[in-house]
Amino acid sequence: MKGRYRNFNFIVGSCLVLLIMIPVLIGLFYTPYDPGAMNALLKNMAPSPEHWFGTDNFGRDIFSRVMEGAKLTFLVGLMTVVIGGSIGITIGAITGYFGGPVDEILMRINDGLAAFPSVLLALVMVSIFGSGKYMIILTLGIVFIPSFARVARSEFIAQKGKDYVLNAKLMGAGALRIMFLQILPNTRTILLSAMMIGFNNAVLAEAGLSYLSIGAQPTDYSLGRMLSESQTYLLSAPWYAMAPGLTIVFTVLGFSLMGEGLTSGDKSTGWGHLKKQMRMFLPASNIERLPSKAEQENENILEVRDLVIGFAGENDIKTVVKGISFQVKPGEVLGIVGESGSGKSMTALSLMGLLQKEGKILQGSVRFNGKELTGLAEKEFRAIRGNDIAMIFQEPMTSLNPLLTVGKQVEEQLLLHGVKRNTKERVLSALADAGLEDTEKVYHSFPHQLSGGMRQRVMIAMAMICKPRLLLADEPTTALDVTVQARILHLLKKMNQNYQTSMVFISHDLTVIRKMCSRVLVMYEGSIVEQGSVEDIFNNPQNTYTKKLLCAALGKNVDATEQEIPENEPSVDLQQNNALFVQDLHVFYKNTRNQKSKQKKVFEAVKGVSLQVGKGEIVGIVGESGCGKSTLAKAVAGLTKDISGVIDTNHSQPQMVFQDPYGSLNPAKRVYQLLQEPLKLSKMYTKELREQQINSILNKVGLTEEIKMRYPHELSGGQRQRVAIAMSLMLKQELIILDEPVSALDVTVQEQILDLLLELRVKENLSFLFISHDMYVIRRMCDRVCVMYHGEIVEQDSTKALFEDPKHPYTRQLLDAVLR
Amino acid sequence: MKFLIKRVITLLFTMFLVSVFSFVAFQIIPGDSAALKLGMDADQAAIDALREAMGLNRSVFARFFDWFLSAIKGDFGTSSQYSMSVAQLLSKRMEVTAWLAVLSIAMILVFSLILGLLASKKENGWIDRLITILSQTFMSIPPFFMGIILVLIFGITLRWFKTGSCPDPAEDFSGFLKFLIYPAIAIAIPKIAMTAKFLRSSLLREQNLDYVRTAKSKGSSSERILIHHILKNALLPVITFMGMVIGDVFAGSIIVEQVFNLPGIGKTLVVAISNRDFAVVQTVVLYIAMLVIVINFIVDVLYQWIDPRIKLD
Repeated sequence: MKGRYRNFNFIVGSCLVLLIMIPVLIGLFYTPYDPGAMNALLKNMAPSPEHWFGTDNFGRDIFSRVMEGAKLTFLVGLMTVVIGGSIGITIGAITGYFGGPVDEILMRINDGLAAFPSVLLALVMVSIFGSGKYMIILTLGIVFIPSFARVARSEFIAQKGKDYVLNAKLMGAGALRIMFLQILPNTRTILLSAMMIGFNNAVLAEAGLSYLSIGAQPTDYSLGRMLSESQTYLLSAPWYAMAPGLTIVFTVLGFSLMGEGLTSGDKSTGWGHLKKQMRMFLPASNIERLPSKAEQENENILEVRDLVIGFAGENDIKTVVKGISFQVKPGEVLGIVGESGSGKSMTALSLMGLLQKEGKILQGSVRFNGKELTGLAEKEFRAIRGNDIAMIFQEPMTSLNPLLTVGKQVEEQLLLHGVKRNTKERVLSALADAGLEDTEKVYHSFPHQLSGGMRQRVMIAMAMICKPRLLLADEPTTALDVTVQARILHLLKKMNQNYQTSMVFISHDLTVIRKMCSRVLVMYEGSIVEQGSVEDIFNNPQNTYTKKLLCAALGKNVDATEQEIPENEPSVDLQQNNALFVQDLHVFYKNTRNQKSKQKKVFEAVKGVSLQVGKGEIVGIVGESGCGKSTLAKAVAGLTKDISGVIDTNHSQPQMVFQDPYGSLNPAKRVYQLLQEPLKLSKMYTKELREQQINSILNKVGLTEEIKMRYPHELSGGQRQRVAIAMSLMLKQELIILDEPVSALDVTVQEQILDLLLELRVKENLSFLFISHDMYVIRRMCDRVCVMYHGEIVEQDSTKALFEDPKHPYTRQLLDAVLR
Repeated sequence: MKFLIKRVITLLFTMFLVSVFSFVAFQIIPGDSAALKLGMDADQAAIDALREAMGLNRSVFARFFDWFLSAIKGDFGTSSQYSMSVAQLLSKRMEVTAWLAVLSIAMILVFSLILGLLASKKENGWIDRLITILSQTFMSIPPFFMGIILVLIFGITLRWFKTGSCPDPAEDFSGFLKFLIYPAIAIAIPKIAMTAKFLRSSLLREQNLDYVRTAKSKGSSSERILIHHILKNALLPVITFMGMVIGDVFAGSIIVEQVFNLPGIGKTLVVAISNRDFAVVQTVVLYIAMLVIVINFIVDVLYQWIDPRIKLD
């Protein structure tokens, strides 16, 4: 559907363009009549087989004249794209990529020029330099330079900060190479559509100017001129105006449809064409009757039976939840654990009737408080939502409306469920109940003025204000820092105890589940693979997937963690034996200018950090988001300019592996192109050698050669990260900086990547600077650990010592939040 | 408040920059304007005398300063074709153009809002498809061709208005407005199509955001969500877009005034260009550019006023 709709626009567009272009091309060699030949006998004749579009007031054949006129139209459009496009894109690329004072000055001039509508600017130029066919072409080319420059500039600014550009820099690619070989391929759709828009604007501008007799001269053939001449004869010969007018309309429409087809985003799939396949699922009403309400009472607040949820795909239905059943008792906290894609969030959304329009409950029953919810009328469901069942979500950042005050949003919950009196007092007390201080101020705040933790408290206050019987919490702490996490969990526990609210608590994080829940379901690929009390699941897991999950989360074996900690003592040798030596490093940020306000701030992200990484050592840096660990990583890699202090990388250029391999691999390149790029830069490899090298490294990172021809988006998350690791190995540098290399991956994949890294360290003699927020991963990987807090290293020690005997209070806080 | 002062300073700076552009552009006209003024067979002494009188022998900076100061006072020089002050010449014509722009902008606001809301109600439904196809088509019709079609249908065939004779607003104001409806439609239609399309995609984008899901989970009806939550968020980018559209409305009026033979500044500009009446051209260009700047300033301030996230910075 998506492809079809997109192509439909493009095909119709190209057909229209061809419809106009073919006569223009023929017109280069042949026109049915001499477009300039007058004939007094044939004045203002209506269209006929001899004269397809009729004749004008001088008896000239309109079709022949349109052929000639459209030639100018196309010429103008084309030349504008060539002149304006080439100069504009070059200027935009350079200013966007380099920034600095030149950019600043050009942007100011651009702002000023933007005040003149392009037709006006063209008018001024024509009035100064004179008119005529060639003048108009040149003028429009120049007039449209700024618009091309603007598009290219903003594209280059958006792209230059991406991880794949940083990666290319680390491999030693120069600015020109990055601009034209790395960034430009990723901007082609936008630039192409900008060219089509530019073409159209130029065509319209030329027609307009010629219509005003300011563009093309009387001797030139131009559609705009024809239109202005035709106006006198509108009454007697209306077809005269239609021929050139419609030619312009079709040309412009054709190009704009083509541009549309190039850039149009995803079109959602519908259920309409899948009706047949849906018959294989039973309608919800045909399900066997459940025990009556009386039998249920005081038993379960929620009863889910044989729930099947499906999504409409391109041609088929993809089931994401495959017949699950579970119950929740009053006051109980039920945990659902599983990886992303296991169907746990879909389950929660379906309970609320909030599946996106592509998702549907295909089969099964959901009973809440004895009432069947599947197939419930929207209006009835609304009365339940928020009042009896409430929900909180993962992203407190985006889950609140940015334009409304927090108070208004919480208050809405009350208004929707019929509470009209004392709403403000009730909101304030609910906010206080959720542990927020200074509630009056919070009430009048906008979401962006609050921290992530406060926002999640607001969400909880909102969910709890109507005292629902059931609260669905979908990864409520995942987006928060560990220390905040613990407090939010505590709050939810308190809410559960104070109000006897039942909860369904969804998480991928087993430690969180263990803290919150009494019973837990383990979901895998849409099915429940195991369920039981938390003690049973943690102490005596039956299912292999559950075991794997436990291993990954809690270290190889829960009881044997002691041996797991590597025993390496920190190597504080001489500087030359280090892969990395950093002393008193400060990193500053000159605040990248906010679009609107022009003020500049200098912000010190790293404040006097010293550390070493010995040869073959893995040194971990742990800390919460915003503590400066990623900034430190970039500074060590040499990607930051404003630094002071010593960074000695022992004559090597450290390579980096980023958190999100989707961003660090250039989306426009195939795997083999990605891998050969660093080799091409070093110029020491022949084609055959490159081929050999790529194959051997792919082999080392556990990938097969067949993926060489694929694009990054055709790989799985784990494969992408393997390719990213392969890229970092290409130049055979000894130090590799790993910036949260497994945080974006599912636990089981995480495990494989970590194993791979440990293996590579030994085989390839590598040293790692390993950055993570995850204490488990740190413990599993590192020989030594540095704890970072507010830009400083507050503690560094061997992993064993740090985990067994944390000295700094912050380290203890981190460990408490996770381990106990 | 601090923000407002900053914006005003930027506004004044841009205005100054635009006046420099407008001045410099007409300094690079090929040929000697004193010689031009006196005609082909003036003798050199007369030209030199005139050059001295016009101040052409002084430095560019001095001349710019003079021009700039008198422009601030409202003195834009003398029109060579009408031999009257430019300010006086343009004041009445500006009224026509201003009303034309007001009418078109009102049409754009009302109709694009209705069409955008209708189209976004059911994505890919038949109403949405129809509106998308129509807007794609109408976007491609240049305003002056639209104008010709309107003249043909309503002026010549149906005789709802008398072509080519616009009533004087001082004498017959309602007749004047009635006449302006047709050129206003011609200008507005492609812009309605563009704005509706932009609003539609903005509405659809907002519909999929997390805060809408939160509102649904509270039990809001979809109408309530649209009015209380989505619309304001979706209109934010449209405000900036409208700033650009309004600039285009003035550009479009230059040509459409010619089609309907309206005595506005657009038509005056075109006549002045053909007659090389540069004082008039310069003033009209400056006037339109200033309008665009001021409108963009208002749009910017409006944006910040609606979006609380920006005030903090």
